[in-house]
Amino acid sequence: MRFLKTALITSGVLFAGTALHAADLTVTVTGLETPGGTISVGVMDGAEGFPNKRKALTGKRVENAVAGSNSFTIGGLSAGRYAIAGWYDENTNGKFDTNLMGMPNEPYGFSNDARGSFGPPSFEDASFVVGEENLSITFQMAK
Amino acid sequence: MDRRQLLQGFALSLAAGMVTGSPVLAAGDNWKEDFTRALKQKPWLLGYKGVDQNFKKTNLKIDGKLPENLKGIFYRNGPARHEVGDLRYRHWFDGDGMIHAFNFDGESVTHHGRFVDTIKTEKETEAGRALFQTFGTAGSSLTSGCSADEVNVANISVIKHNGELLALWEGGSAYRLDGETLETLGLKTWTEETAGLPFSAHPRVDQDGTLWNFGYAPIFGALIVYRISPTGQLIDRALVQKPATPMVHDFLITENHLILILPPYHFDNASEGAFVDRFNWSPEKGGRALIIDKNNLAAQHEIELPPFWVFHFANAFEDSSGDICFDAPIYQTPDVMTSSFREIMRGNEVGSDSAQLMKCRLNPLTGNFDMTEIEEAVASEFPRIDQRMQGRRHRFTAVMRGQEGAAYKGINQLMSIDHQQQTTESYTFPATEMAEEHVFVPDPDSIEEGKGWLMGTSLDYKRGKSALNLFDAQRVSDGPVARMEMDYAIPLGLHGNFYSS
Ligand SMILES: [Fe+2]
Repeated sequence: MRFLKTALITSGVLFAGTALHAADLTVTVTGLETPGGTISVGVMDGAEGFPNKRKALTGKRVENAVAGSNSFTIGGLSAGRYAIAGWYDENTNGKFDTNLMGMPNEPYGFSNDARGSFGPPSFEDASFVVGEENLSITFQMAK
Repeated sequence: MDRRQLLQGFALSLAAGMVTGSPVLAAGDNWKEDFTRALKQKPWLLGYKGVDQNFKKTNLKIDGKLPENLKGIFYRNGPARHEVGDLRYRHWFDGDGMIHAFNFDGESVTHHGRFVDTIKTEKETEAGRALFQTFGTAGSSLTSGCSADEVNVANISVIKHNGELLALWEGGSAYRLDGETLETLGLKTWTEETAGLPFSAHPRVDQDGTLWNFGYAPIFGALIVYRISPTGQLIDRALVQKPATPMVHDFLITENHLILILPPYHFDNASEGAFVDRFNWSPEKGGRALIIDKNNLAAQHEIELPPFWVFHFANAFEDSSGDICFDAPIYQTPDVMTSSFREIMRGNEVGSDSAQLMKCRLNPLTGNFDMTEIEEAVASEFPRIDQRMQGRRHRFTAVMRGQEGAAYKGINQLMSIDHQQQTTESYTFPATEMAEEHVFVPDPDSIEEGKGWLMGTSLDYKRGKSALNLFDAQRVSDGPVARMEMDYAIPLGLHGNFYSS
């Protein structure tokens, strides 16, 4: 899953150019059936190449997730439209496991709980607007 | 569309999100009302009405004499819930699957029936309405689902392999069931890499107990072939890239080969709407036979065939000249599926081609192909053989026969064909009965092909009662040796299998 690998790499990187009025985004991921895995999410700011060919602007990795819901904060988002793509590495093998045809075998989710048909949703369906205020969003991860 | 990119999965070009479908669900189109009205005029439509409740276990009255050595369970699947909320489905193949079990303990026969508790059913029950597009129904209020198993209706067949009872669809996983209670246990995952992939409703059990199957995955432009050991392990699999994937419902095995007949009925990935409406019938492109070496699934080649449509095959074998011989009910076009089995859901009778049972011969080296009619077997379907002859030269084929051009009116005859003697025997059901697939049940005290019984259900629509019929397989024209009637009607179904205990 290229889009998720990108998200993963970017999430470890400090990103420069913090805007003057940066908002904090509190993300709550729900629906995890098993504890102990790793949540990875990437934040993307445009439709082009979304989600697999687009580099994530920023992201987050949460190890040792608990079953049910997990919350974390992604800081420093300037005002704009974003979408989040995420997956749950249930067996912590560092891979987004899929079947032979590329359909996920591990839970995944997008902001707005957007789901595609036999593929990812569009940026439009998954996107939300960040203003100058801090914001909380919740989405589910499922297979 | 770049296939490699498609198969990298997820990053598919279907990224546009929910497919919203064709305007089949137009306003003012009330199939439920149409059907209810038609049912009053045509009582035989009872078989397509559908049910919404499970059937509790009941003892059936036995007319005639049951063989003492007949012990086991006959399982049968079929679309049974044809209405979800306000929606009546637009195709016979759409309904949620129900498994029926007829238990023979040597003295009594019981029946119970239970819906497969699918992911789809769970979500729709919670929502209180239909949510998902199906094989033949689309519309703006329905979504196409995220994955095959989200829309899996588990409604075509039921098998037992390595002691595990499996409800089969063809677009997604099998569902595991409890063989006694019929409770749903979950999706069957052979391996992680085949999780959620299509597993057809017509696997074939080889002489050594190997279970062969295939699946067609048109959205991914591919076919998959499965080799499953007698102990239920997936030991080999192959992907066949096939853009514009044809619809393939059944396949064949011989001693050395797997044969997939690919009709010129191709999926258009750019289209929208209900699944069946996304295929185009293109007879000018001709059909193909895909021949795969059983011992090297990568060794594949194709042979050109004339265009025809086929659901089911009886059996295949290799003769001494190396020809692959098989018999099957062959249609000129898939109209019965695209038209008759759609319109019947609102009570409309739309005629279509009937299937003619044909003997086919295919040379895998020269590509020669010919087929001959088995004349008596016009308007045939649901071919079955003595399973012990799977992939070997078989003497007998049993088929169900209907009225020519009127498949929607059901089946009224059981016919047994003796290929060796070139004779047929048949039994015509009473005028107010619609019969269904009859399966061969071997006599446990004989190893001779054809010694045993033919078993299947029928519906007396006038009296609103279904029955299970048992024939001596070698004396079909004598009529049933035993008949077990229910006090109720069960929906017309598809395929079943008997497993002795
Ligand atoms: Fe079938």
